Amino acid sequence: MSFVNYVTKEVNCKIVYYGPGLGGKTTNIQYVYQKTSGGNKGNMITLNSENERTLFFDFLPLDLGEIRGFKTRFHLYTVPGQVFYEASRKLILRGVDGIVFVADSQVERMEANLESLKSLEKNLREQGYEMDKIPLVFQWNKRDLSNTTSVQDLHDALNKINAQEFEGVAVKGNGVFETLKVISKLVLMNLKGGLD
Amino acid sequence: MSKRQNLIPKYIEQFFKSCEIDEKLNRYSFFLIRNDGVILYHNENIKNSLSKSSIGALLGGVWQAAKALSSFIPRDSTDPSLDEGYRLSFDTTSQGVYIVPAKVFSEEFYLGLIYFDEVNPGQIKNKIRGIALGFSEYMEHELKNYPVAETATKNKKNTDYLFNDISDVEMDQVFATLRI
Repeated sequence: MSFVNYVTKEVNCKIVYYGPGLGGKTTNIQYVYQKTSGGNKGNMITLNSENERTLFFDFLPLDLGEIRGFKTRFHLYTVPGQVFYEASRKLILRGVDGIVFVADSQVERMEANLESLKSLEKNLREQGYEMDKIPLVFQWNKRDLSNTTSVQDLHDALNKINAQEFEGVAVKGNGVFETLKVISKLVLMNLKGGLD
Repeated sequence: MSKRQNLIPKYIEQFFKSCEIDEKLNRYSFFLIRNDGVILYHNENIKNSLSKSSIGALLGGVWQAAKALSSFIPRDSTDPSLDEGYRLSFDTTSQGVYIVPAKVFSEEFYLGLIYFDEVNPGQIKNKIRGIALGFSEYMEHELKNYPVAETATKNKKNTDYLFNDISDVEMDQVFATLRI
């Protein structure tokens, strides 16, 4: 859950990159890390296995500019994509404010995308969220490869809730900041702030 | 944002101001975090605020993982002696990381300590446990009229939003500071 500190006029929000293994979640936040100047970013934490697959999570704290007098700070997390890390994914989703679902556009990864999306829906439901209520965007990653499913077919198969979607080539940075900007906006607009 | 959530940062600040932190303990870094790793208080021993965020995320993550692992411990749920609080320690004889929970009604916060060159780690761990206990008592007293943590984020009226409609220009300004 986001944290609004009225004393220091700061908002902290948690964005989780979710999706199938090897889909490009870590690559997304690595790109953000590489392209962001030092003063705005903290250490990128990666808890990897020996073959550089995400074991627990990646984490990148990002200080953005002010909005209406509030400093904004985003905590970007990725979940481990491999199927058997379900327990870790559940933990990382706790308190999430927004989700980027990074789908792998390759034809042969459609099953993995569907399985991951199903797990996301289930894990969110277990924590009292509904997928169509929480800020969520889709990124169709790896659009530069030759064996990709069409965007329309990805939309039809995965984006039943008609969330905003972006094409991406995360290794080159295409779509990375566009995706981040839109999910950040949705998260900020969803912050509850009425003082009672 | 509930009244309770608004009051928490203020009371935390007041608690640590009023609490006499041992000089020895202040040589090290300690943090108060929420269960999602957001840092609510730290004793300024680490200057880079973004490094602090990383520490908060790791402290929160390691606690959550350990707690999930503890669910595999066979236990008799009717035995009240098993309800005593867990602590988490990752240490050598002179340095390490120590985390203790501090419960405020049903909400859990965590105090994390990173220490080094310590000849008596047991003593500083004990002090941290004392602070955690004092924190729980203080917060429960101050928040006695607001015992329930806000969990539901749905079914609120639009008027409850902190920012109604954010324009693309405003978002451009938020991201302009990134100097990509």
